[in-house]
Amino acid sequence: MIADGAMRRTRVLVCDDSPELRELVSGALARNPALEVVATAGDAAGVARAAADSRPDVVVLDLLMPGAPPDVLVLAVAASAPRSRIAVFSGRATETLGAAARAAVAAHVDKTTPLDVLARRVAELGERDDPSL
Amino acid sequence: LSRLAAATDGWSEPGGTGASMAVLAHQLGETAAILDGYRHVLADAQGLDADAQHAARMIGLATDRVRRCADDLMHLTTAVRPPDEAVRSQPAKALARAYEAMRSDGDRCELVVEVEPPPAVSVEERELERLFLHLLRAVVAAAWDAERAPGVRLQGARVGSLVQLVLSDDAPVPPGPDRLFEPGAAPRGRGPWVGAGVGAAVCRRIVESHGGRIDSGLAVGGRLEVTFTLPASAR
Repeated sequence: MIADGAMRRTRVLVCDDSPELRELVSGALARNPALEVVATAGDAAGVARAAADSRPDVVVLDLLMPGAPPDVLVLAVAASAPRSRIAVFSGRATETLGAAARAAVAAHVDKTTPLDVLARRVAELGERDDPSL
Repeated sequence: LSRLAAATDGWSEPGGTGASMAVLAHQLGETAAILDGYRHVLADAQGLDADAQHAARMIGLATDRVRRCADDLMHLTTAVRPPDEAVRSQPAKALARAYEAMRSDGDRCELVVEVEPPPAVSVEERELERLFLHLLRAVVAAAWDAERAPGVRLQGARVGSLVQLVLSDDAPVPPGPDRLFEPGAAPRGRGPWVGAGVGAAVCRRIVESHGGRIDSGLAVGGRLEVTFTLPASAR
């Protein structure tokens, strides 16, 4: 994404209930120069709040978070930040989501995916910016 | 997890095997992500001596091994999708993608692959790739101690509404070569490519959920042949 001659980095919200994973995933994403981690969250209420406050381009979302079942969590993020793209990063199969939640997910990255590959996928999602949104 | 457990066809009792597998896959997946995160932290560290660099590489290999186990269990719990007649996939392409995915892992993986492109089948490409991934991994595991790279050959032909595919290889033949896909059969080979040891079960579930059948046996010349049928693409 180019704006005013400078590269605009993709703003990312990282959501995982494991503090260790939040830190490691954030660190791996921050190593990609196209990405900027603007917030993290560790439970469903925090995710919805951070999604609304930080206006991320991409939300990296674990599906098993305290405070809400996966479908509710995904739909809450979609409602809180309708312009954000949701990248599910989970050990759960996307097939376990209902149709409405599945439709709200822009990408599913298995939790076993190397973190540098995750970073590339998130950067690609950020590049798919639609100015009409 | 109840929906995932219900999707595992026969493991759907509350707290049953399907749900346990899904939880285990999830936990292993998180472990792989944590290991991978620390591998990156080490890779970024300055001034590591040779021993520390070796340790970082070993963490990478351990991560691959954990990742394989997690993926295996997830494949097992999701390999029961109903067939979709509108789907069309090329077996040769799926085989190539599976081999490419294996070669991107850190563990040693060399195969000599020959393909006579079979007809298209009505199986989702991702499922077909997983099927070949597990079949190829079994070959690499069988040849783990061998000095030369094993060769595999894929052939196929349309038989009525089905495509019959044959994947043969020249890796060392396991005991009971005609029983590899029977429930409870021991995994073929050894080493990290064995993963969670459920590859044959994943293959069987993918094939049978599409109304096909999978068998193994010895061909003339001593090659091991895996023969399976999948619905032919209607398009």
